[in-house]
Amino acid sequence: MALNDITLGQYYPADSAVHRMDPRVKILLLIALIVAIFLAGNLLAFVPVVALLLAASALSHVPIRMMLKGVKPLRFILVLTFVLNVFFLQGETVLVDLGFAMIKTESLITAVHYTLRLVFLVLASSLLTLTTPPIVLTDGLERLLSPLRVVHFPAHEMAMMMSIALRFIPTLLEEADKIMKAQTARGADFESGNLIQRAKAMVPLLVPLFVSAFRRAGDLAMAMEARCYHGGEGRTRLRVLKCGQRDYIACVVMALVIAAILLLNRVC
Amino acid sequence: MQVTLENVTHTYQPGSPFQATAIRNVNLEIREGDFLALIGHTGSGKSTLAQHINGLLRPTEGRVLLDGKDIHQKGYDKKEVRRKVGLVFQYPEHQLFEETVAKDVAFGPKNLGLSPEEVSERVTEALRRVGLGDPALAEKSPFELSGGQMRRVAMAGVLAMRPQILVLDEPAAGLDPQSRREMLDMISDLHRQGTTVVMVSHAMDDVAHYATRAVVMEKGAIAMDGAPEEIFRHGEALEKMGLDVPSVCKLGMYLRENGLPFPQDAFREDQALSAILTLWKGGKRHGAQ
Ligand SMILES: Nc1ncnc2c1ncn2[C@@H]1O[C@H](COP(=O)(O)OP(=O)(O)OP(=O)(O)O)[C@@H](O)[C@H]1O
Ligand SMILES: [Mg+2]
Repeated sequence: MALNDITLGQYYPADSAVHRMDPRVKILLLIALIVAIFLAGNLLAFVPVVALLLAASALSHVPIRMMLKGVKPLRFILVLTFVLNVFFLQGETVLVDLGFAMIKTESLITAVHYTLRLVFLVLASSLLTLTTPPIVLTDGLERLLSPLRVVHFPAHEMAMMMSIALRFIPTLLEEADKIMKAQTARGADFESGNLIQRAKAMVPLLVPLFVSAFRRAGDLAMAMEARCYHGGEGRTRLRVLKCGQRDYIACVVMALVIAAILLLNRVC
Repeated sequence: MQVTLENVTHTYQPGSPFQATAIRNVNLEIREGDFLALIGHTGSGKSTLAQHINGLLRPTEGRVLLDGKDIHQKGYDKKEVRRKVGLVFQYPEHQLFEETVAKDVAFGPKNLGLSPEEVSERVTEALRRVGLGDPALAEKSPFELSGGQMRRVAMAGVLAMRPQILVLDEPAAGLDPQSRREMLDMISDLHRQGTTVVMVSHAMDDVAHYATRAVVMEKGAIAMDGAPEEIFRHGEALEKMGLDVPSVCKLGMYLRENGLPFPQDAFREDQALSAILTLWKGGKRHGAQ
């Protein structure tokens, strides 16, 4: 059924230098890259960004096609951004006169710029989620946020909640798929009818799903307690994160990209 | 009423890194009156095959025919398939959702568009069949019942649709011995009254006891198809696939190893009994001489 198409926590398994990077460094570099994308003041300044994304794709064995998948759900926003900017931005040079509206060269360039910016933002974040297993990602996030414990920010609890949620998304999806099939076998119809009928048709799916989610939550809590879980205090870790050579190289590359962007901003 | 699977191949999540071909080139004809046992190792594709029989899964390649018509053809009414072929999933108790047992069982018949009188008659009949005839029970919430009772309610939910072909995915898994026997006897009753049954099972004794035909799956393909006595003659091949043989066959093997002429083709208790009686009488004659 349609539920198979949802790729959440869209990790793309492969053995590459990018996959093996420290998740903390990857998160920080993503933030840097996002800043860099916003810094780029003209189309030419996107060249280093594109080069970096292409290089990362090649290095990580993640096909560009997989990265572009993340852009697809945003296509309406992209089109909207483009159209609004083309028609409503101020400009001098008239490129095309459609009669009811005019397209100006400057606004066209800006529209392309803004749209591309969105695309690159999505591609950059997909790169992180595609090359990092969700559990490792939360691990990295927890470590990055742990200094905030001083101000009583529950970094460990947040990370634990996130990793449990991530762990159970596929399980729940599978379960939902199974229940949906079972109800379809009993003649339920999830696909036709008006909005109200469809909402009603969800009851036979949602009730068993919630019942089982609560049952699972109870079981899991019990199992965690049985294994002496009592929060993050004094807990050691299975994966000790360590920065290596490749992480330093990646940081240098990112610095070069940002420098190149700043330079290109000046030039044009 | 006959279902034919023609060169059916099913691949889960094709094109993704997780793609998995669960069944490959399966040809199977389910004939009216069959009590077909589907056996195979974990992951051999039994559940996937079962879900093709009532059109829940669409074959990646190949066709599924109901009385000669392709059920995935444009214009074919899927409701028709659902009415004729009932499917009880593995652990069906997880699909209950209504406030009361009776309402839950009524879900299927209601979806068929039957009149309220017809629905309530079918609900009563289905609940009685699964051994939950007590009217007080019908008004209880299904979530207050025991696991075994929930299983029966779920079963009744499918029976109330009165399918001509009933597909059951491990209906007795996880039940206590008595509920297990009751469940299987009920299925056997349905079969005797004319329902075609396809049952996925890991328990060879049940297969020996109830099935008229056994289909063995291995790695997504059909490895053997025939009457149980034929299948169980290949005990070694079954064991190589990680499967078992009925306990009577095991007893037979043991006796033959120890030099007793126990027949090869005995696999049910009644056959074992007559074989042992023959042996015993022969033995007495020996003793007398
Ligand atoms: N929704 C799914 N997505 C991806 N792969 C699946 C899915 N369902 C089943 N598979 C795979 O298909 C293969 C066959 O699965 P299936 O459930 O049909 O086996 P089975 O014979 O019923 O096993 P069991 O005895 O454990 O119930 C398995 O390798 C399984 O991993
Ligand atoms: Mg199965």
